[in-house]
Amino acid sequence: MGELILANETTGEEMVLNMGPQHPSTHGVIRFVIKTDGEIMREAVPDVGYLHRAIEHIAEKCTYEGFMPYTDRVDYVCAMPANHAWALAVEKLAGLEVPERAEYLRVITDELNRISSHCVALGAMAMDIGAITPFTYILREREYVNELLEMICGARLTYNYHRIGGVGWDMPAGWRDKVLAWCDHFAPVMDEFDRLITNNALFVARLANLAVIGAAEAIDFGLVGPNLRASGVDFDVRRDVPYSIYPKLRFEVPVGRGIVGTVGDAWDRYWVRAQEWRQSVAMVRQCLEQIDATEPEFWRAPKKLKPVGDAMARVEAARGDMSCYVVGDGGANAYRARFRTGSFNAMAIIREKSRGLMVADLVALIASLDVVAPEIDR
Amino acid sequence: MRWAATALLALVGFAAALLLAGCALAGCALAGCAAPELAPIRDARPTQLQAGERMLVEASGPLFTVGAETRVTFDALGVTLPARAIAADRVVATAPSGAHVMGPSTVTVTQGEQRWTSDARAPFDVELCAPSLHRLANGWAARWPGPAWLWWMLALVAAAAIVAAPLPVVAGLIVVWERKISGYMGSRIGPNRVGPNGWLQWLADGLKLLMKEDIVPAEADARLFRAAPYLAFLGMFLTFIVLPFSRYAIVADLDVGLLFLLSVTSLVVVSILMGGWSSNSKWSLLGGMRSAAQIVSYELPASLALLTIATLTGSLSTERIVAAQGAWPWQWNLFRDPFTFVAFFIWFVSALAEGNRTPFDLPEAESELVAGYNTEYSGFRFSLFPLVEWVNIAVIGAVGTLLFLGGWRVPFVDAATLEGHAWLDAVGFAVFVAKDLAIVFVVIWIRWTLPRFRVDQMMNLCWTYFIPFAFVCFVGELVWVWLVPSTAAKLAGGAMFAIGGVGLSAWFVSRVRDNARRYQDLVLNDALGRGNT
Repeated sequence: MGELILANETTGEEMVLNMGPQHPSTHGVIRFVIKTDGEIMREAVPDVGYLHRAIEHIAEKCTYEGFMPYTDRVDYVCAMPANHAWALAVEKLAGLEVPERAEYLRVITDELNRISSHCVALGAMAMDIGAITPFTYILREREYVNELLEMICGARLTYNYHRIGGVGWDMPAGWRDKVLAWCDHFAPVMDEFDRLITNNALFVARLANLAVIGAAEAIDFGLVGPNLRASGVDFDVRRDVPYSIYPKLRFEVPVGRGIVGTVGDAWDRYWVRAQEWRQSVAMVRQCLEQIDATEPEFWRAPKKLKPVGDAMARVEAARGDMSCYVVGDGGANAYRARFRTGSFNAMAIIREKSRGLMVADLVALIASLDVVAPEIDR
Repeated sequence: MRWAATALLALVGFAAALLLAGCALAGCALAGCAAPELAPIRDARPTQLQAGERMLVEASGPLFTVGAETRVTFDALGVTLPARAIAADRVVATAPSGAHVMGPSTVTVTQGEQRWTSDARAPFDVELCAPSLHRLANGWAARWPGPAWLWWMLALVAAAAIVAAPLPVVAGLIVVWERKISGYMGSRIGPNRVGPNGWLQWLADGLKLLMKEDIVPAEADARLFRAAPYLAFLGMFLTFIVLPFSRYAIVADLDVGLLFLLSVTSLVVVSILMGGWSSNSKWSLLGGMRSAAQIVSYELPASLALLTIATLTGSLSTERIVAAQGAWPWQWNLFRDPFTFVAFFIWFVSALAEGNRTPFDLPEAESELVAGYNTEYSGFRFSLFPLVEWVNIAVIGAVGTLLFLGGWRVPFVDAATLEGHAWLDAVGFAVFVAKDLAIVFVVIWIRWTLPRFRVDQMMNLCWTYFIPFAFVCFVGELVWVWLVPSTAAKLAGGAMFAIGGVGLSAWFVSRVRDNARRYQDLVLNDALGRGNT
């Protein structure tokens, strides 16, 4: 970072501002070095690495099954898809079959977790713009989701629910009704949230046409997930690189339309996530309808797990395409493992997009990209 | 219902606290009635008189005989005061005790057989003014032996203490109230541990802050850094001098009341800039700069809105502005004419901006600037900034009440009825506090609903919309006062009340009911088998 400041040698008019690692709206421990001229930013340089825990290295040090709890920490806001990615990669590597019921349970928990993750993303975004009440409203909903997930796996944040070859537990009795009741309840909440904040004139004025990322630019920077779709690129791993039982589900992929501004602006990134809520709820409903037809088996635990070769699995996490690459050399541990996450790439584009924005807009930009510190560094 | 009950409780408790302070003020003020005459001769006319105070009648040329027996009669009111000619063109009349408020009247000066009457087309607007704390100080100074200036100083200190003592209480209770409102709005509970239902939370918070270490950053400009919070406190505290909480509960009815309000509140921006700059922290500096730009900009529309009212009333004195309004809503300045109606909203939004409240809380935007200008402060010095901020909300409410919402005026009670009925004054005080709290509630409500402007949008709003509109209001008001006859103006007031007040309220209530119907039961405890949340 020292050379960075030297490289951007400041004139008398500009100052270097250190935002983070401890800052209220950097969503964890993220650091930016900002060069500003008063309120106008010349550049914001993300400093990645404050939350690096060598998770991929840990994968080499413990067994395939034993690594599952660590995947929760890849992205603690949305841990289920990370579980899923690891399980999928190892199953592919070892050629394992997964019971159908487990696939349904995985998708249900993935989608519930996506909803709760988007709750945090959108609520935090509203809070970064200065509206605090929507955050508490939507965190209430996240609490409900957390409870539902707690009922099924005993944990509220780091679930460790998926297993290699299935899932840890079946649905508890009465769980399905509770999830359905919550889905019924969540529909008007989303409308209320839209009325409260999404279409709020001030909110729109802050986010419309802000930090517009074009489709080509989004692809160049390797953006994934909602950030990519907000730029008008119609790509969703669940639909285009299908895995699990997603082909059996009917859902739409919301794509940014530039309703209040330009396609790919910060408001579109917000809006795409708000639409994904609706799709996820629909998917959870469909899964709960279809799951009855499945066999009761939910975990086909592998007897001996010493695979050789390499495998790559892609899942659609809340922050987009989460890929897991794993190499096995015949031992009980992975020889190499690697997670490819969305936030890391999203961090890269912040520098590009920050030029000429206001300091306040940087906060909106970070929030709109929904970067989560542990997912950046792992 | 629970929400309503708590809000009511808050209102009552808060009003009771303020009432105590108000009664103390009123009591002191009433005691001052008996003070001997010592008030300086008012040299301006039309003037205000209190019992025992003297009034100067100026003649346009040498008319009077100095030393001859003189009387001054207010013809329209049938009041005759003993007087004394002090110069060939000046007569001093002394108001008798128990005098009442007077309306406009011609004045006749009598010396023996000779009578001179003032111009009937421009009668004196004479009001025998109620005692206030600074007059009380004058009375004490005259009564007790020793150097008058010493007593006068002591009396002023006592008066200041009476006004200052409730300030932390006011700020603290508003803080708790705000936290409760925000809690209910965000489907949380809010503070409920310290004291009855959490209402002493402000004491706990204040004590905690007092016990914290007072840190001055090593590279800070220590003197300015230390001084800044006091300046902010001073600026906010001084506004209480001219706020007429009731007819008697006013420290000093300054002729330049509104001007005084505007100038002392500007001290706060100096302090914020001082604190932000001297902290030697970039975040603080950004906050201070934002604040300076913001407050200086929004002072323009706010002042123009105040000028609209000053134009209508013909006075800058806060007491006169209240006196010029009636007790019923259609007699308030708010509904007086279209220009005051618009001016109210311009003033209110500008006041939010001047008070650094959402959606204009950029100087302390915690998601952008950490804490803005007070980032580096701790302990007692830090506590003064929030104190000032929350007192400022009460001041916003008070200024709005006195300028637009009829102040302390109680239906069926005029100033003459008030004389000698202190309890009626307490009712007036309660009315004032209730209106004040209503505005405070709206300020809090807005804070917990809206997001924040960006700095350029905020400036844009001010310079391209508010200032032109405020100018239109001001000029329009001038034309209105000049052209519209009084009967038409009264009718306009009724119409404004019907359209603006009743219409907007009905629309608002229907919107609230619609929202309540749509989203009435969004808390899902039973279905998930959860307990009370």
